Amino acid sequence: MLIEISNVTKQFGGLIAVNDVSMDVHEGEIVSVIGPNGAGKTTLFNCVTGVYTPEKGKILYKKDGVVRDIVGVPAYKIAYLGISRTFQNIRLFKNMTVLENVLVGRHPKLRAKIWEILLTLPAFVAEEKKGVRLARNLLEFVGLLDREAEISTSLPYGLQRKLEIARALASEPKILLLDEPAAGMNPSETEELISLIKKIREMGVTIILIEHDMSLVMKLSERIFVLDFGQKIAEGSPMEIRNNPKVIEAYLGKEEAEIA
Amino acid sequence: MMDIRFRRRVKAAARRWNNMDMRLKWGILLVIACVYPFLASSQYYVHIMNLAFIYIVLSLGLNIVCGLAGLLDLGFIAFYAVGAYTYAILSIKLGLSFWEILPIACVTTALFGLLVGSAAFRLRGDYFAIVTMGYGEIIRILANNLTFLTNGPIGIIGIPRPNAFGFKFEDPSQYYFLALAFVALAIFLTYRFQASRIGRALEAIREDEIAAVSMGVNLKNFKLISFIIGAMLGGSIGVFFASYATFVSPESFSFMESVMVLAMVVIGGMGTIEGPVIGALILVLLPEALRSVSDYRMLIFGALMVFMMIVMPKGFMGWIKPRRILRTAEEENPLVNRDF
Repeated sequence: MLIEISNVTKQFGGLIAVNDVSMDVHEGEIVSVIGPNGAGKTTLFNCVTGVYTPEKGKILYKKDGVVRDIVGVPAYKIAYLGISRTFQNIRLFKNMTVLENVLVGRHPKLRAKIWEILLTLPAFVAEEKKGVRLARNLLEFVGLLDREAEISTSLPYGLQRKLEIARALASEPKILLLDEPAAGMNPSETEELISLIKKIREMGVTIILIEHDMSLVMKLSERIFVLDFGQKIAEGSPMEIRNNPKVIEAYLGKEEAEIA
Repeated sequence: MMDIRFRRRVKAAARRWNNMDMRLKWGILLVIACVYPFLASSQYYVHIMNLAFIYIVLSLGLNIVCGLAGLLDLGFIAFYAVGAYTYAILSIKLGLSFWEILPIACVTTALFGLLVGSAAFRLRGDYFAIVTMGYGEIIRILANNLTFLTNGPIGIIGIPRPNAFGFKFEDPSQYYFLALAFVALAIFLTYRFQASRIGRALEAIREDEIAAVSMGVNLKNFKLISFIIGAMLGGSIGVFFASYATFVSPESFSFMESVMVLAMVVIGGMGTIEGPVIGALILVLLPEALRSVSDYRMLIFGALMVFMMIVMPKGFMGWIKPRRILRTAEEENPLVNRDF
């Protein structure tokens, strides 16, 4: 078990965005979280990444053999723990270049002290060089190497998504949370994305995915969790989920499901 | 309207300048700056350049807070005041030398930055700007009223001049190279910070706080760091100012001064290094150049400001950057701003 979300509840006033949701992810898995709009998928991600603190429940995360509850850990520390994410609405650093964006993602791995930076000590230079080399490797990995000097928002939409993935990988995470990575992509771009995600898994990164594109979800995930109105209504392999009556009901509505 | 061919020529020259190697670029400027006092026909011109140097360091300091971290600081002059008063008081009451006080002043302004910052960073955006405006005023009013320490509105006179290896700084041309050293140091520091994890973290905060946090950037700490670095630059040049003018009074640290420094950063181009330098040079040298038509000085000045805002809303350095990059950077992605 790498991460175990148990009975997490997050409320916004009267609205229960995530209601008593439990899920567990093993190391090296690709797991998807699906559900209709407003089901609480992104809220769940935000609970895991420390943007929100859930009212109830535990999120147990195993690092170096030690299991700890990461509820209440500030968001910036989550990145240091090896949990990295992308955003549903693309949050690139707009007026920075492609390479700089990835270098910011490298932040949790950089340790240079202020005086080392000011005096340009070898430790700082070496770290910086290593960071740039790694960032370039990642850019090559997602196919953006030739555009490293461009301003990030000048990239087309699909490439911006890839840049977000490269940025999230720069901190060498254990878990990568992808929030709708295929949104706004055309079918061929989605195909590329699928092979990219597979390659990331081969690097030893566990992937949790929120996605509406069912072809991608079915092709990639080993297990799927389905949320609806904040509650988990089903979990299982792609095959099981496809035939689950509750899932069909959640997506198509009750009456249609009966007619069908 | 500006002649289009002239404009193109300026831009082409600027672009060539932009693409030049950094060391060569600043080397050329350094040589020009070193030759300047020997070519200047009178001490007055050197004095003006010294003032410009003071403002260059101030705007480089503010540039770290405003340009890199994107925090609108309307009370930056307070750090300058703290530095200047630290020198004035310590040199007169305790008889410490310039070189002893300089690090002390850096520490006091840094502590002051820490104090103000940790309170102000509870607020964001416009409210943060209002708080910074408040502390800028508080420092001026304190200087006005703590008569036993600051001599109130009369100010402190007869501040000793610095010494170095038995050499006493007396007239502007002797101060000139000291000021130049401050400028060079400030530019060097900004370069170092900008191309390090600290500078990138600050820029990330400016662009998107939520994404920055998710990348492991501790918002509060890094905002404080930007404040402290800015404060130390402002404070150290405050020490220089007090020793140069040999006189400090609260008048020198009014709100208008903060606005002036901010205007220098904005006109030059926020977040760049050449920008604040150019902005400070323009805003110090232009009023001097317009002395002969002093009746219309503010009019010309105002017209220039309006012109800059229309033609170069991103400041001078923003204006000469390649068009393509600028336009695409400005294109707001409607999805990016939506809250998640």
